[in-house]
Amino acid sequence: MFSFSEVEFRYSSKHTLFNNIGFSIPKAKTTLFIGDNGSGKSTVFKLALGLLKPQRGLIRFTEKRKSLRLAYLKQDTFFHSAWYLSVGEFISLRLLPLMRTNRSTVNDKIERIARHFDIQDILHKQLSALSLGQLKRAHLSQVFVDDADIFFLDEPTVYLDSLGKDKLYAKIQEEQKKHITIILCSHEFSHLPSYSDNIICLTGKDQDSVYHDFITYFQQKNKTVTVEHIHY
Amino acid sequence: MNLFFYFFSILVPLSVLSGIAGTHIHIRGYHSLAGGVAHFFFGPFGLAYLFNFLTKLNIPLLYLVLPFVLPLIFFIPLKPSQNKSFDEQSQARINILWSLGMSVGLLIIFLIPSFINLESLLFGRILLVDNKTIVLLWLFALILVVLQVMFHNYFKYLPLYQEMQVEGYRPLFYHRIQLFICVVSILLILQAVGIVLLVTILTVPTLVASRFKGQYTMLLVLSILFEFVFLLGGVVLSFWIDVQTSPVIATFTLIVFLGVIASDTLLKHRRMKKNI
Repeated sequence: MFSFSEVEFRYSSKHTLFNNIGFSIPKAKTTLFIGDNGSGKSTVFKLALGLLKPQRGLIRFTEKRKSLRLAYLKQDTFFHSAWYLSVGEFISLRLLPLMRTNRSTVNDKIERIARHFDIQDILHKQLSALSLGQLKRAHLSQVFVDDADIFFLDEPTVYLDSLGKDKLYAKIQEEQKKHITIILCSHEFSHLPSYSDNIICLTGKDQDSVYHDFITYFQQKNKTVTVEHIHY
Repeated sequence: MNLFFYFFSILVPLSVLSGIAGTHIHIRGYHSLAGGVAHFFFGPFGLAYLFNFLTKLNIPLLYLVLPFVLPLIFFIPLKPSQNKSFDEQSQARINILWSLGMSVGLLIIFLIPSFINLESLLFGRILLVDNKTIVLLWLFALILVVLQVMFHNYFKYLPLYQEMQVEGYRPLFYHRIQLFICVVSILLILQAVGIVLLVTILTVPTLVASRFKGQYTMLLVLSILFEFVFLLGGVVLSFWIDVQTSPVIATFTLIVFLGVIASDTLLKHRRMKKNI
């Protein structure tokens, strides 16, 4: 679906995160990024989404980037600055093109996704009045309310209770059946790896051993495991 | 009848301008923007007087000040830099402009004594607005309403600029339009009502409207309605007690605001008691 080749990225002149990383994300598969805190998992997402630009190297999509519909669940779920939006308004961000032409379809889609994530009762509440778990469900509803060619899910299970997690896994499986490309990053190793076809491990040069058992386990399960060394 | 028509010809565009700009300022957290622009205004205003541009060019003050003030829309960032919070960054920039404009303006006041009646800038002249300014108020109110209708949904989602970018929109463009609406509105309101009232009417009615939990559009409409009610109430009251209008409007608005907060707190307290 897209690939990174010889990508270098620095947040500042003193802090080089990636010096020369390269990997491919296959189409219609689910890829899971793992790695320590600060290893650059979220940065990889932002680079692929075009929210950050690499200092060097290429990020190439197999199809025209502009023709692809992307959906992004960012790690930060606070949304303090969007306090005034109702949950319904928040979810409908991904339905903006439909808003003026087909209001009933918009309402149908919102109702359907709200039912899936069990947030029908809070659709009229303002974001500022929600708990973190409710915010996460609203955020997931926004991401999954409409179709996408690639779903980028950064730490999707954080703040979710077990019921919320089950609903997320069900949604991921639903999209996998439609052969949609899904890219995940998480520290949750109990369920998400089993939904993934590939695993990319971002780790420092001397820290392979930390993930050694994990990598071996998934190689035995016939999953493609790529290890990318980054600078710490 | 003429007086009645005159009031409405000023109060309606003023309510629309301050309702729209006040909502943007409130939801984006640009609370020092009104004060910043109003005080920065002193700089170009003083320069225009120093070089006698107003009489030489014979154009409304707004046109003369606008080229100096409009670059402000490129000065306030949409997103935070890596190390600083968004508020810290934009508020600091606004405050720099605030002091820069005001110091230049005050310096000129000292250079040319009595070149300007400062009271008119502080309290405005809401009941003595000339026809040129009324036409400008209506014209810009109309332009800003059209911009608001065109970009309503995009303004709504501006705090979610990363999500907008991923969806293929250009949040920076809408951010600039939003700032343009705010800056032009502030300048127009400043000319009509002065600095004292400007800060009040850009802040309080939206704060009152935001206490009624609803959707973004509701917040905008309620802000405009409250602006009109507060302005009209203040004008009527100032006639009744025969005191200068702007301070009366500001005081009336603040008293109503305090009343709303008090009743809100009382209602919450009663509800809590009932639940216990």
